[in-house]
Amino acid sequence: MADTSEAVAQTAQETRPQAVAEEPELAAHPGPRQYVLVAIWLAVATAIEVAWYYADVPHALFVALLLFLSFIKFNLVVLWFMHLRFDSPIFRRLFATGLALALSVYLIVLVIFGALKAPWLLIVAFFLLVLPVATLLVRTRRGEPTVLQPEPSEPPPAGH
Amino acid sequence: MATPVKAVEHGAPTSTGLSNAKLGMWAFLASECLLFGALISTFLLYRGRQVTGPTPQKLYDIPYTSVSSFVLLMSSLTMVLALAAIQRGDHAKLRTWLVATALLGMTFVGGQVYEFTRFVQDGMTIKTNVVASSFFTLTGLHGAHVTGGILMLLSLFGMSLDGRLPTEKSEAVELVGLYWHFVDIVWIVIFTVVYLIPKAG
Repeated sequence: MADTSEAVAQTAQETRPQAVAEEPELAAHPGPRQYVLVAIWLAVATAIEVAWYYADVPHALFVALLLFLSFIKFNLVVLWFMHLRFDSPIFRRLFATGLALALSVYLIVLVIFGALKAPWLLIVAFFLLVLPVATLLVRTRRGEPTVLQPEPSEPPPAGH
Repeated sequence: MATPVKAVEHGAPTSTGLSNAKLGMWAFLASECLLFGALISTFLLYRGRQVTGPTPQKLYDIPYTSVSSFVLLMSSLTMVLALAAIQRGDHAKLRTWLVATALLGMTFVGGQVYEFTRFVQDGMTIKTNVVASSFFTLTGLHGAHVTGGILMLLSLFGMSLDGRLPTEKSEAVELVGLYWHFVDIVWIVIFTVVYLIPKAG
């Protein structure tokens, strides 16, 4: 049994370069510095949301900014903390499918039962459906300039 | 003809080159979108109804819930730092970050229990009206998910202490991390749609 496990581990180790060549996302993940930076952005977005809650602004603007900030926070967590930006596109497509299904089904329900009436709200809802799914489906090409760049992966130290 | 086998980061090689456990977790999270989507939609459908008794919108304490939201967001940071630690082979830091994440999760759940208690004292229970029912069901189920996540984190901590979580098994931390981050993104949506936006409506 132990021999089998070792053989599997050895095979995996030997074929890893090929797997990484085919799926470059496997090789580069962000480091702690990027994670802290993302967390700071999340905290700032939350602070703006709360401050905005007390602002005396028009109804449409109030809702639009809150939805926008929520969208930003959602994407930061999904793409960076959940590694969808770096992992295999298969994971991204799988999650985007569930998200698209949920958003489209429940938007239709809300429209049918009259919970979404104002045309502007329908537009915002449409963008809420299209933007997250499009963000998740579009494959980020390596080397493109981005807001945050992943740190080069460090070799793990030996031993436990 | 044999199916080509590719190496995976963790576990046995598969035909996709991806971990089946991770694929399964992503499929599970995709299905959870439908579950929480149904509950959020139900709340949105009912929140405008004319009902008797207090509604959540009248009882919210936004500064208090904001702090809870911030705590849960920061627990996502500690969770991802736990994953980075085990991937580096730093098991002491892994345990530190796992405990920190669990404590932040407990703080969030404790805050939610306090909030629910205050609502009940103010006369809003799950039976008061349909708005209250949909609110308690949605936020209560989310709280149950957080509680489940805390139990998973503590299990990982125990396994690590026991030496049953070597670096090669870092995928276990990654899977729990995915679940934990998902619970976080659900709260991001709930905080905006259920707590903040109703002020305008």
